Amino acid sequence: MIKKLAWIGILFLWFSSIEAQEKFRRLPPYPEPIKEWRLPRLETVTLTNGLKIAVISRRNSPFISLQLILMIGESFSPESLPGLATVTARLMSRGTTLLSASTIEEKIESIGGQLEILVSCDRTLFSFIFLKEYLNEALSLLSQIILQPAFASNELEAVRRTLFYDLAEKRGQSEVLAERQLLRWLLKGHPYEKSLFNEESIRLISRRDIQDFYNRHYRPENALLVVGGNITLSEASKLISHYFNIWKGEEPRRPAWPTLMPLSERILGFIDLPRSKEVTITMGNVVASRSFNDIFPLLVLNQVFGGSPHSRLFMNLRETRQLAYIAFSKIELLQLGWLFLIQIKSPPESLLAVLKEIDQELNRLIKEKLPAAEIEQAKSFLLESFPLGLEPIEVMTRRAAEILALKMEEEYWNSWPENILTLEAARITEVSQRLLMVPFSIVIVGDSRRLTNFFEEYEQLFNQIKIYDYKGQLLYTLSKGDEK
Amino acid sequence: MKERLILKKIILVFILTVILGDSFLIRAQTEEKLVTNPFPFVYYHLKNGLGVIMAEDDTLPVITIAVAYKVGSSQEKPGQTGLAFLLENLMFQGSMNVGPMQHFSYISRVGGRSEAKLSEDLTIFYQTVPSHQLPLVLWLESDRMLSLNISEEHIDRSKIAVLDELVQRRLREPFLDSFIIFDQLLYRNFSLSHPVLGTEEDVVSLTVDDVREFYKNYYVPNNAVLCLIGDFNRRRARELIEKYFESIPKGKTIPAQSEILENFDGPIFKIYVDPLVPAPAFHLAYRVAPMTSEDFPVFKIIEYLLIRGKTSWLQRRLLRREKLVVRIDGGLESKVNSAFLRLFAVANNEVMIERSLKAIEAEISRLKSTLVSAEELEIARNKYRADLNQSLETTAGRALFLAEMYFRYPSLEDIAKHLERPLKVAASEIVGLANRYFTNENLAILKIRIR
Repeated sequence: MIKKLAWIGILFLWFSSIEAQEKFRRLPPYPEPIKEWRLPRLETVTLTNGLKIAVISRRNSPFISLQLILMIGESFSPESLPGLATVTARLMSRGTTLLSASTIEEKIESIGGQLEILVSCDRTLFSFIFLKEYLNEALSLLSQIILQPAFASNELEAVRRTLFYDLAEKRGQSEVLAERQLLRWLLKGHPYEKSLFNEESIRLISRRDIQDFYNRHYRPENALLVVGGNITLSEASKLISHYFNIWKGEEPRRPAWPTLMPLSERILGFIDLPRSKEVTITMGNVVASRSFNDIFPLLVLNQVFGGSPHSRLFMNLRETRQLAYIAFSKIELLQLGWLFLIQIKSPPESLLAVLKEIDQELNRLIKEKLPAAEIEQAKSFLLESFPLGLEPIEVMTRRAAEILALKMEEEYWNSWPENILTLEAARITEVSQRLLMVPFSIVIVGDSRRLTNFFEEYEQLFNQIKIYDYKGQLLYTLSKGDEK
Repeated sequence: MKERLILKKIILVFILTVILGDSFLIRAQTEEKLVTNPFPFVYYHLKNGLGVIMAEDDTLPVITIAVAYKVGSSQEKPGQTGLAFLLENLMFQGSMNVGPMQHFSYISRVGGRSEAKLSEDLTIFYQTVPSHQLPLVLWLESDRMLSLNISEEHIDRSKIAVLDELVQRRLREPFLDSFIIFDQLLYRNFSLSHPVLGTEEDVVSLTVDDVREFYKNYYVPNNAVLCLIGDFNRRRARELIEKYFESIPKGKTIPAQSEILENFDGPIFKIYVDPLVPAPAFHLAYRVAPMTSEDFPVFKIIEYLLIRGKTSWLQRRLLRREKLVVRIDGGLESKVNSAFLRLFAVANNEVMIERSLKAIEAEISRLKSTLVSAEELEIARNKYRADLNQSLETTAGRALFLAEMYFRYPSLEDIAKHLERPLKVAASEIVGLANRYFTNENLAILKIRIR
């Protein structure tokens, strides 16, 4: 009897231990306590020739990342030659007075390196990453590329061909077509408009135009070199000074360009992309602020609205209503204005419903008080996810370089957590009503044959649709009451 | 009296088994081993056989948790291709305590990323999150390892996603069919020659029983490894891993895959006509030494000399200097116990294809007859080192690397030796191996013609 009781007891103990153990599986666990963490500090110094240097240290990185930013972008290209800034920058790595293009390629690969050149409205970036023991070789090569470009005619042809190929490839990408058309409206008449260059102006660019552009704008006072890796500011500045101190030039004259202004009317545009299975919608307008204090409330607003798969747009359009495949929003920070952009991909049959839902979500964001819980969730998402985007040294250095180029390192980089944490709901609401209460223009890219229903019904929301080709040429306007 | 004695014995046995015996068992099976190269990590096993690898790095408050199962398309039977891919998708369709697609939602809510990677021998699930979210990821991963929802409804949902991906892939990759055909020429065994993602016909016909069987056999702790990389406290992490994973029952022992024997039978020269491709092209491959062989690291350097990077011999000659092709890429491909150096090139016309093949032959002859210069060797080594360091730069990269090494390489202690060996390759070794392996018997060529 006792033996039986003992066995029953043992079995009971065993089962109850399993049961108790498995209870924790029913609900998601609480997170561990958050560890105190700070972004590595950005330390800066300016050389006597005006070149600004910044260093961001990471002790265990096997690479060093050099991010050389020139504060000149496509907006500096002459009116008659949009694309000149891009061609100039690309041609610089295609040969110097001493090194041919293939020697440069060989030198880059021999130090385990990669060089990427990017040109935007405001800036030109030379992003160079290589094995850490080759800092001298890398600086020597970068200084030759920047200070002694050859601008050889045969290489100009090669750069042109690559650009034509890039432009042709983009033509088939619905999201690029949509964004470029929206930017044509938002940047119209502004020097930034030149960033939307096409093949025609590239054909007109001569070697002399490039040399003139280089002479006028490639100045140390116009440049910023950010170094990331296992290096200190004094080590970096000594070496950089050695390779770049001969870089001289007149003080660059920066033109006084106007800031971007929001479009006051809403435009609806359509570009036909035959055989496209889905519809791409890009919406947006200029945010009329240049106060850095507005950036943090805007980031929280963007997070609440469409910054992640957990934001309102994605949750409503994709998860709840299953109207869209993706639905996000983003903020683009340019020197002379910021853009608030929305990007959606949906099945053609959902197009009208998607547009109605976005309007409602925008109204909700601007007119309704944001719930405290949603604000706190957005703030903690921004704080927690920030370090995830800094893992490779190149990404971290590039991010720091962009912040420095916008002249907001103190506000943005060094005080990031405090600026997010201390934001109050009233301030966020004030910013949303001041900056986002603007009409959002819309570009739709899709296969017109799959959108016959939309063309029958668009009048429920809009008075007219402007039909464009992929080059931005207005083909015709479809107005309310027109024959479809 | 006797009964009391029996009772005492039973209680004693119970205590010994539950407390002492169990802890002895744990100690015996779960002793941590420390490896310091290429970066410090420890590894051990849970009682149920789950491998655990932990590498601490407090550079950023970020962690990656990868759970890798030693299963892929090579475990599929004829008529069941796509099963591994379907199961990879099903792992996001919910388990006992997690709803469909909630895995993504939990991870994205905390600012993290969740991904999966499937190959012929491994299926890896990995997520990078803020470091204090470690319990959340362990909870999610353990729940789907223990209690995946496998029902008609869940499978149908996964089938739609898988079939859509297969269609999209076909649209994205016009040369896809030729890759599948070339795989069949290189790997005669069905396990390695069929497409990793499967075929539409097979996916449609997969049943609930097929999926349940596959999950029951392979998605078990003794067929898996958990890699945790980043900013965490090792003791606390170990406690949490035991809490979430140790009670998951061990599965039955899985037979080793040694029966997959390579039986490449070269030379192979074939022509494939595909009117849907945009331009003529060709595949070329040489069978080389398998990954675990002493010779393999030499081929790593040969790979960089010949095809990796803008200054590699073939890219420079075919693409830049002689402009014979519009695209050429390739590299070493290692599958279970076979390896090939593969090339794929697209040209404007068939004359260029023939000239390209001759140019490749000439470069291979150069490799066989001339010692590579010290400068060229240095460039190849540095390109290799940069690529390796880049792949290990993120916590996710290190987690994937360790998971793959755990299953594909005989010993974790020897990884550093394996990684450093290409850096010590001598020019004479390259000539020797090029002559031994780059022969007609080891060669396969598939030309793709439009008509």
